[in-house]
Amino acid sequence: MSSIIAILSARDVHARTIGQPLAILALCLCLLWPALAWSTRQQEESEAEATSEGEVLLDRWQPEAARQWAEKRLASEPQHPGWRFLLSEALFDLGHYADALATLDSLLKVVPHPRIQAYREFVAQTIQSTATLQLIETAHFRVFLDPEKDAALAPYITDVLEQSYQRLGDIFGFTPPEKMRVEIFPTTATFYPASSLSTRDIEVSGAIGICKFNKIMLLSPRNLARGYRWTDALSHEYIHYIVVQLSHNRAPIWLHEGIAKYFESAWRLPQVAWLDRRSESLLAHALKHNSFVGFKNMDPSLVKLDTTYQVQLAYAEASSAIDFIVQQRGTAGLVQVLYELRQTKDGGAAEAVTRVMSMAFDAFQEHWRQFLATKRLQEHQGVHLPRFELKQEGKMPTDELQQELQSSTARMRARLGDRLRQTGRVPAAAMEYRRALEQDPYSPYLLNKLAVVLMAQGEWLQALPHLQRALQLSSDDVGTYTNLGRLYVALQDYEQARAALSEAVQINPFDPAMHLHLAESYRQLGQSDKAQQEQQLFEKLQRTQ
Amino acid sequence: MIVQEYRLLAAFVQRVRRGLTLRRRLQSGIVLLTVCLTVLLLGAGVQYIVPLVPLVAPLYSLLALGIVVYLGISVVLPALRPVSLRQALTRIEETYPDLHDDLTNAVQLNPESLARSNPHGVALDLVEALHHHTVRQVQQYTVPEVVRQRRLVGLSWCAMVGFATVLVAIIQPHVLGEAVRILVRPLSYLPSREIHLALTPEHATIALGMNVEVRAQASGRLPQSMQLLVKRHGQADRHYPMESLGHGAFRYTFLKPQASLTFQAIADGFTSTVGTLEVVPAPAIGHIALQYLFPDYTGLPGRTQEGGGDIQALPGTQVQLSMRANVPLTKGVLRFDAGYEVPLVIRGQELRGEMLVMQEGTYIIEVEDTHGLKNLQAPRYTVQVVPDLTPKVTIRQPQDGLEVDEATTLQIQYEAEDDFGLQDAVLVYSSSGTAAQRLPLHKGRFAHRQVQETFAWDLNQWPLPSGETVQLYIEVSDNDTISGPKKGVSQTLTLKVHSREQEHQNLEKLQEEVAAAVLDLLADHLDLAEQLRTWQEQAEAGQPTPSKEALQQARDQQRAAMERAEQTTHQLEQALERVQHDPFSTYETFADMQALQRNMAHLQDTLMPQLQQSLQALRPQSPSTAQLQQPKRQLEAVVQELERLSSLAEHVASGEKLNDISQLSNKLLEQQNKLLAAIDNLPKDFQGGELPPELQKMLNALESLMQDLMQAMAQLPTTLPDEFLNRQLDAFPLTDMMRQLQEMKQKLAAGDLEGARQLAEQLLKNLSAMVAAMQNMRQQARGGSLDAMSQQLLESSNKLADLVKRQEKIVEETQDIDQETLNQLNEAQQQAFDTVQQRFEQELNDLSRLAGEMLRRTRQHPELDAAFQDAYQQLLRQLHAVRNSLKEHELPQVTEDLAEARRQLAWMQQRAERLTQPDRTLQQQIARAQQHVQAAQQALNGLPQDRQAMLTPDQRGQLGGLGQRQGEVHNDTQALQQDVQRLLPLMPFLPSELGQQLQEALPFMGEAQGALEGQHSQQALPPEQEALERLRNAQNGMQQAMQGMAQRGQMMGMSLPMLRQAGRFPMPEFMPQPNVDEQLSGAAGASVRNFQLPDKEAYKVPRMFREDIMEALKEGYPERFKELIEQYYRNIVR
Repeated sequence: MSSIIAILSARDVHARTIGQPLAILALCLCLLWPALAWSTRQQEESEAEATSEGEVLLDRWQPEAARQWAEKRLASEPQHPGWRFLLSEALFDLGHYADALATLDSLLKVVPHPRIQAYREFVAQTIQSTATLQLIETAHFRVFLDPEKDAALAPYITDVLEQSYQRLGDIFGFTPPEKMRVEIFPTTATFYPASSLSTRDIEVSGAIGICKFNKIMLLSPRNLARGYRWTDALSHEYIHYIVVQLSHNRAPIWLHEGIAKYFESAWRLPQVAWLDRRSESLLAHALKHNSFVGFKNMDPSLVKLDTTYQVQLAYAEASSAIDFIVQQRGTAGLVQVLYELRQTKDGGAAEAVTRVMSMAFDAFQEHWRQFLATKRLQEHQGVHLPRFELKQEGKMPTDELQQELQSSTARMRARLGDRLRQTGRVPAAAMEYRRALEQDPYSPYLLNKLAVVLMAQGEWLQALPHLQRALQLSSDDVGTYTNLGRLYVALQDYEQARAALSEAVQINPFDPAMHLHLAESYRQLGQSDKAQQEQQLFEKLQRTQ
Repeated sequence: MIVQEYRLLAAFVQRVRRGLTLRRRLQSGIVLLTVCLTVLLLGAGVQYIVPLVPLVAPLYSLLALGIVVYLGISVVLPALRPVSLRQALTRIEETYPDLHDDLTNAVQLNPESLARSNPHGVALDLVEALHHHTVRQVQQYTVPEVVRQRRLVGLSWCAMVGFATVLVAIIQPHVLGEAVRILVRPLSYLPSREIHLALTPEHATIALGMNVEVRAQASGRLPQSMQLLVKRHGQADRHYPMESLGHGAFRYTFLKPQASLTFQAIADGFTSTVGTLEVVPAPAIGHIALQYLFPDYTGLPGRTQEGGGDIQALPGTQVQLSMRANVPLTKGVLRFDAGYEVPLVIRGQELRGEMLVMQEGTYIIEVEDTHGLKNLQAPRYTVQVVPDLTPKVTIRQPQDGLEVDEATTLQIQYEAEDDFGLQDAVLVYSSSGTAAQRLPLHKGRFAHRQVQETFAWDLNQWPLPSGETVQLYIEVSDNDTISGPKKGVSQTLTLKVHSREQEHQNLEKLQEEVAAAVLDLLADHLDLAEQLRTWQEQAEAGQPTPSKEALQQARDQQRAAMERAEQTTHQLEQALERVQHDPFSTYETFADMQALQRNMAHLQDTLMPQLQQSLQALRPQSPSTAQLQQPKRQLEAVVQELERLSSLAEHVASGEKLNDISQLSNKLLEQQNKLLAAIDNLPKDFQGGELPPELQKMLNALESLMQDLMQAMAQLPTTLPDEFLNRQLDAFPLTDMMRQLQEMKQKLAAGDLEGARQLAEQLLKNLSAMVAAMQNMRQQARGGSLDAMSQQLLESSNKLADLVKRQEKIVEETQDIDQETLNQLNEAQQQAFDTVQQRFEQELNDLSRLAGEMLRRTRQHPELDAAFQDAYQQLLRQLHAVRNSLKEHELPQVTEDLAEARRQLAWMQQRAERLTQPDRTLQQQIARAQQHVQAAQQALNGLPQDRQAMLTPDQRGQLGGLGQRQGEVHNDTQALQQDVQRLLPLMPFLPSELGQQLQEALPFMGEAQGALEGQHSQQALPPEQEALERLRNAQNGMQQAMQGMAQRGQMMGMSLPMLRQAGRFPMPEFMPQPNVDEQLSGAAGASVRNFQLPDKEAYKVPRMFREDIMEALKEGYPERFKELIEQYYRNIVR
């Protein structure tokens, strides 16, 4: 589970990573800018340098400095369209959407250019998209989310962000000087215009979050049928922000995504755990067939790769490269690479890596492959690429079995198992699920079904190994965690139940039942405050769903 | 100034005078009117006294005259004079006492007069002051105050009398008139002194035998008595006292006078005029004849009746009467008791008339002669109406209580009969709560008055309410044109109308039951599998298993499952039978159910009995795991088959539901199109409010369909949700569509036509998308997923065909080689045969000779003689047979015959050895004979026998190659069998035997391969052929399955009845044939209920799509399609 960051300059942002409308806008701005620059050069030759300074500040995601710079310029030239436009951009990046809009409106009266109008529409659309969001302020973040639809996220989001802040601060030696803005969008309809991502970007690449415009934007996991690791996604996006700040926004995509992927679970785990079964399988396959995506092909963005397979392989490649750097030079070496990027000119990441790793970039790549080879990676059976199917109104339902199970015989048997359960023939259903598993033994879906039917018969201990195997096969399956939670509650192992259900909450916290079990677990563990919080959340979700 | 003031005063006084004069006249008028009206009202009472005392009339008149005169003198005349100045001044001063006499003085002191002469030397200034002072006072006064100072007297009395008069005039106006008459002509009320007599009648003619009454009325002075003077011709005058009737009226009755006479009334010397009484014969009627003319519709001939006037006829019969009178007549009528009369035509004494018989009653013939005399006591005749009977109708077919299909053609056979004729047969039917419907069976007259007709009632054209009980009867009218056609009504029949939709739902229910039953069977066997698994584990642990009880329980369970399988098969048969007649079920369903039935039969007939046998073979308490292998295999086969069948059964049930949903979606789309058209047709100035009923109906229908669709979709089978999903079940956009519909209604109600139209268009787009999705879903469910598998099946079929060819080739080549080796062997045998034959025959000759010697020898032993004789003969026959077989080169037969000869000799040897006196010679002879037989056999064995030995190196190589090829075929068959095994669960309609046949072929192929590789062509052939036969069986099964799939593809969405109608399937005789076809709603036959004539726009693509296309064209098109697109539009233009 991951997301993509747009790490381009302001002009590039408009031209390359925003969607079609914003691309046009960016193009317009690019075209407009020389005109503005030309006009100002006519008046004062030295201003050309000044303009680039304001832009540079924006490029480096230093909107406050850009704002001050623009205001200083405007003090002497209040009507200057270039400074006013720059100010509006800075204000927007600072989250002062209304001020940005007002600035653009006043600018449009003087310069009614359609391109400025387009940017104005984007700002207005962002205001509209964030209209229902309300602020939750943590020590270092300003989180905006929909209190009605995404109430289930609220109790956990603080922990995720603040733990990320501390842990990643320790790792990278950097913490943002100001509170960072985080926006959680309740629907795709609000997320798309604000983030510039499309349905395809999400469903193919799994890009459900983006760090852009000096803020983190995330799509609520409520929009995916089974949710996603939204907590790791938040941390992932925050890492992008750190990388931008440390590198002055000069890190290439592979470095960005590699670092973010590598450290995204660092907030919750003592050791990095980037190499899961899927990544290992993908890398092993790529090694075996020499079919790597390649760092160059990851540009301009992973979301633009053709298939989910390529996207996931690219993530695995990038994070393994980070692993290689960390193994070779430690975390400090990695941070040094980012700092080196500030100094590089044309060489970019290759130059920075070369300096830190003391080897040419080609050699680095070669050594990295050798490093991978020494890991004796294996292709695991039953590894599936993640699905990020958005729930959309008016869309016809897809056949769940078709998606979950490769073997048609397994599908048939799973279906028969379901029907047997529906008719109350539970032992027969269990038998049928077992038969289905014979056809598709690596299916967490089937394992969960079998476990559920065994649990229904009260055979908790028999169900446990199936769930454990499902967990081993897929560590991001919310159903497995929820069933494990239920099972452990039934076995009165409340610590295990809490742990499993806490994992479930990190994926899809909208299931009321999991909060009920979590409340029970906390109650039994003597954590009455948390128990009460979970109980309240359960009741609220019960009411709203 | 003074003059002016004087004039003012004078004018004031003058105005007062005029006012007072007018008031006095008004007062006198009131008095006069009051008195006059009082007198008039008095007359009302007087007129009642006058008859008693006539003198009161003139007294009253005089009194009134006196009062009037008095009033004229005392009231009217004074009132006509004007009020004097003095009276006026007095009245003014009475009204305004503060004037004292100033006004009188001022008026009298006319300054103008004083100016002319002032004899009294009146001081003018004082006069002026008086005038001035008086004027000022007078200016404060008003004339009406002076005039009104005294009230009008008698006004209320006058009003009361006037009101009474008006009231009387309204209620009894003649009372006032009479009062006035008394006032005006009082003398007319005084009594007269003369007597005036008037006779009634003065002249009369009566019929002989009649009585006549004569009356006389006296006026003037009324006499106390009166007499009638009667004069008869040739008789003395006679006086008859007349009977007083009071008020001067008297009468006398002549009793049946026989001759004419004169008469005169006489009273107190006064006489009346002379009256005459003429006595003539009374008129009478005779010779009555009646001519009946019956109504045309009856077809009856006319009839004459004489001897009386009594009539008996059908209504509408025209009766002509003719009769004769005894005297000349002037008038004749037929007078009916109903009150009307019919005039008769008179010619002299002949009368003719006619009547139309319409109702029963009586009549008399009334005539009048030239004297105006009528026939007395005319006989009364009767008119009797003979009724036209009501037609009798009887329905012969169908039977009462019949259950009919809603789309059948029902044969209605009925009989009708009437006394004169029939016309217009109508079938009347109704169901509860609905108005009766009338279906004309026959219009116009029937040819006969007794008919038997049959009408084919096409229920598609004249539909009956499906699912309801209908009452029906037939009405037939007669041809009565006179009193109107009378309706005969048949008995009422009750029909129960099958609802196809209901039947379809029942069928779906049955299909679900079948699916549930098969699933239950699967569950039972899975339970059994679990049991076997437990036994297996126990056995592996070294425990003796199963227990006797558990084994028995498993057997019982399996037996029960077999019984339930039989029941399920029965249910399946029922369902299949119904599917064939169900217009809503598709061919795919039929095909799937056929496959289900076929596979179920395989399960029942083969797999389950095998399982049963294997369970029976199990021994309890055995520690061996091996014995569990067989039932486990058999159970696995059953479970796999049941999995296939369960999936197929569910596929059938859910497929039908999807089909229903698809049809509902189509209806929805159709309805929405109509709605859009209806909105387009709304007037542009539509203001909203109440919607037109048609539009409202469409909206309601749309909403209802949407709800039906939602309900149908809710019944679709879904996967069991084992985990929480953020997605809710509103995956289909129906909720949105419902909302759009509601918004559209609101917009229509608000008169927002454009908004409603946009919403309707949006809704139509959504519906179109949904219908497309539904079709896709249905397609996928029906066979979309089969596409890939059908490709696999095709590949498998090709592979199988290839395998069959290869196996055929192997068999063929093996046969060739075998034949060749056989030929070679035969040849070698032939070559060796001559030598062998010579030796063989030598041996046979020796044997024959020995046999002769043996016979001779045995004659020395009588105890052997009889039996040896037979044996000898038998031996000879054997030898003869051997010779013959040898000649025919039938070596096996030779061998067989020799063996028989050997047995014969052995028996003979035994007998020889058991002789009481052993005969060694005989024994030696027999032994030698046996040696000859042995030698002959050896000679025969010396012939080449081994085909393998005949094989050439090439042939050996060929056989080796064939063995290799057989091995390849074996491997390929095995791979194919595995493919097929994988396909079987996914294509449950495939015959189960397919995999089995391939499986069975494998060991034969292995055997054949072994034989071939061992270069035993002869041994290789039987297993090769066995394998080939199984491959061919599998191929047949595969081809049938392929054909089935191809048919499924061709008959997408069509039901079996439709296919039959199209001639693609034989139509069973019992099945009613609908006349027309309807594919869209899945029903065979035309549903006229839903039929709507296409309007002028119907042929067009919906407007919104046309607009979309036009919009799209504006955006240009890819260059490579340019030519195609232009060609397309050129074609349209042409």
